[in-house]
Amino acid sequence: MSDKHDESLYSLYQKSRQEQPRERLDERIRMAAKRRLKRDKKRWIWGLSTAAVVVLSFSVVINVSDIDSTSMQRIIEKETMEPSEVMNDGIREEARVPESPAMLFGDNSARRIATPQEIEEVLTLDKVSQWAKSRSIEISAMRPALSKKSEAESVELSLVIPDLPTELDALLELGDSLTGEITPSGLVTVYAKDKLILTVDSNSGAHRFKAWPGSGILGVGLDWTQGVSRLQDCDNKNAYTVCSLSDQVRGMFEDNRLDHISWVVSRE
Amino acid sequence: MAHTEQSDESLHAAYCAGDMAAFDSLYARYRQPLYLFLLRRGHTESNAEDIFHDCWMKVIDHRDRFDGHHFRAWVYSVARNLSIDVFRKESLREVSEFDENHSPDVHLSAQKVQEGMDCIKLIKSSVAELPVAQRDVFLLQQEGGLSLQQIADLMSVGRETIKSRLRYAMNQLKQLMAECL
Repeated sequence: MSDKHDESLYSLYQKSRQEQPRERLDERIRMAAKRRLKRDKKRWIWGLSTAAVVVLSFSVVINVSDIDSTSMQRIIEKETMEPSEVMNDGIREEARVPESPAMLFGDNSARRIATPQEIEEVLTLDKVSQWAKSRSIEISAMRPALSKKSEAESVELSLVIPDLPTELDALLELGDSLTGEITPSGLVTVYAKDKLILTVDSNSGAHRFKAWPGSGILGVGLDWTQGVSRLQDCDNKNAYTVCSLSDQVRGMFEDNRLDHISWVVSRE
Repeated sequence: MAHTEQSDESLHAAYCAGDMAAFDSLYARYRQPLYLFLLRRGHTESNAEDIFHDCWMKVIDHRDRFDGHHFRAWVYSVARNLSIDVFRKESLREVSEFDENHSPDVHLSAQKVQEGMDCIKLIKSSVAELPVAQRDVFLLQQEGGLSLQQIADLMSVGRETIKSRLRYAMNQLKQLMAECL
């Protein structure tokens, strides 16, 4: 067939080019592009402040030059080591990671981490919500970076509770028949029988309320791998696209990735 | 120089240097053709949007992977790879890349026109009927505006192979669209 037919075909194809991406999608992509520029700017500023800190540290090192060089070397080594290599008075020890669940059990060999189902039995969303409500506490759930390998599954999640009581007694009210203790490193641990269901790290600035895989305290069933494109009720707020995941729970998405969820327990 | 006159590569560089307006111009250039490339490649609207989004996230977040040359070829290569991944994940059976002797159902096309299907709809369905390898070449040329050599590089085959795939694609489309030409 002739070139004339080629031209007609191309012309018809051009006429068929009508579909466009939705404007909401355009807006999301623009927001992501903007956020990236902001992040770059922050990194630049952070670079400057790091440089300032380095300069400051350098002055401190000069001022404390009476500290012998071996001690200083130890400090530097410790700061840069893997947890499994942490030194204790200069003697290399086996792994001792204070917040590692395995280290919490001590000599009690019956203890183990609760399974997601066991956590769900004890810490339901309702119970935690009531508990938080009675204390006028706002809670949100954070998802730490997921490894690609485990992305299909719910993995370790943390609830961030700005005003979390660190008193063990208050935490034991989260569920029935709970026991707990405080480790020497300041970690509050809560057990259901011999099963570890949560820890609270009272040492960090923001108290972290940690639960292990697939925790039912988040009320999920939630697909952490979902993107925003199929969700209807969404708004762009600050750095996130905020979508309703249920009546109570809102999801904060960054770059089409569910970053964290939150729900607010209204104050009485 | 106004953004509209700048090359893709200089717009990309300007965005990397913090110029959001440069990103807007670059996005406007590729918005529809890139989306149509994915849609015509056989994805549902929803999947095409997801891949389109992910493609731009790569443009935004993996800027260092762009070598500064031929932005157009790079962005279509990213989109095509993402699209292939989605098909693989969904275990969708694609017509073999090498099935160049695939015969279109000309009678069915003629029947569709006789039954009132307009030529615009028919060309969409005809493109969808092309074997994937031919469809890719046609779309990369029509939507991507890529040269035969750029398509050859992108698909890792020789220029002559691309030329031949395009010829097959055009012949098949002309047969399917005979009632409209």
